[in-house]
Amino acid sequence: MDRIDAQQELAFIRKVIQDSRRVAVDNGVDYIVWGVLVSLGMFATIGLELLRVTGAAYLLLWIAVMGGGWVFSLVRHLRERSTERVRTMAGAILNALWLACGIVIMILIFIGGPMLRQSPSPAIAAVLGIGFLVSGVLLDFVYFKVSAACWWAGSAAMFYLESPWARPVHPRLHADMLLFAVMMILFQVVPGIILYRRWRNEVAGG
Amino acid sequence: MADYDHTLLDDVIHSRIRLAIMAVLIAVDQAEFTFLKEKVNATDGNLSVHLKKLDEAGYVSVQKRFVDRKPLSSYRLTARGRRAFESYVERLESLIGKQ
Repeated sequence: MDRIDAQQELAFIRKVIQDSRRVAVDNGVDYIVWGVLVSLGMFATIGLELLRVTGAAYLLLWIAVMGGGWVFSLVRHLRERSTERVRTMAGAILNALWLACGIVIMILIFIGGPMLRQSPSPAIAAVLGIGFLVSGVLLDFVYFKVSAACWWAGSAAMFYLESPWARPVHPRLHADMLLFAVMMILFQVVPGIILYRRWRNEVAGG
Repeated sequence: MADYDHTLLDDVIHSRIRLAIMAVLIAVDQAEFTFLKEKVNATDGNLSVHLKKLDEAGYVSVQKRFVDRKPLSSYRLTARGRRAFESYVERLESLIGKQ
């Protein structure tokens, strides 16, 4: 083997590795479903507050929203795991990342929020920023990196809206929740749809 | 131009198909037989022969399971295979650097 053979061999190795790494590790479906579910939950919560509903309705609503999301993700994950053709380290890290973020968010919604009598939206937005930045880097997906920055900016804005210095728009309207619901659509559902379309193109292109 | 001492190259990896299999498995954590077949562009029989050789050398490990009564084989690089691949690439790079 001479130098040219070695160069060709290395070029071949690089091409095979790059080609194999282009395997889509995420199709965006979880982002879309969770984004739609949570934004609907947020709008429903806002509606209940405006209608002066009190009691267990909020707890039941969020148990349904979060429970539905977890069941969907679990079933999808188990089904895909049994048929997946390739498993990547990036995919394993993404699963662990969003599981961790999901657990923190559950703690904030069902324990932190009620105990501190504060809206958990600002803290949840900050957690989502972490999830989206790491996902964006692993998937090499710029929309998620932008989403991360927006979630952190949104988190700061939500903390302000919940503070005593903010002027309320409506006496019974939590402006931070309204902002969160809109951000969920813009910075989770929309990038999720773009990721899904990218995945579909990659699958179609082999 | 002086030729490289070919005995320094790992014979198990020094074959186009086996090299491609190793490169695919370096890129992904675990791959099914059909995925490897697509990426390596080999026939079932040919791929099986080369995978068996890599398995015998301890470079890949295989996990077999049934999904809907169909057998599925998934392959991944062993630590030994990863080291062998890295060493192979280092030798190629040193060849380019030396001359």
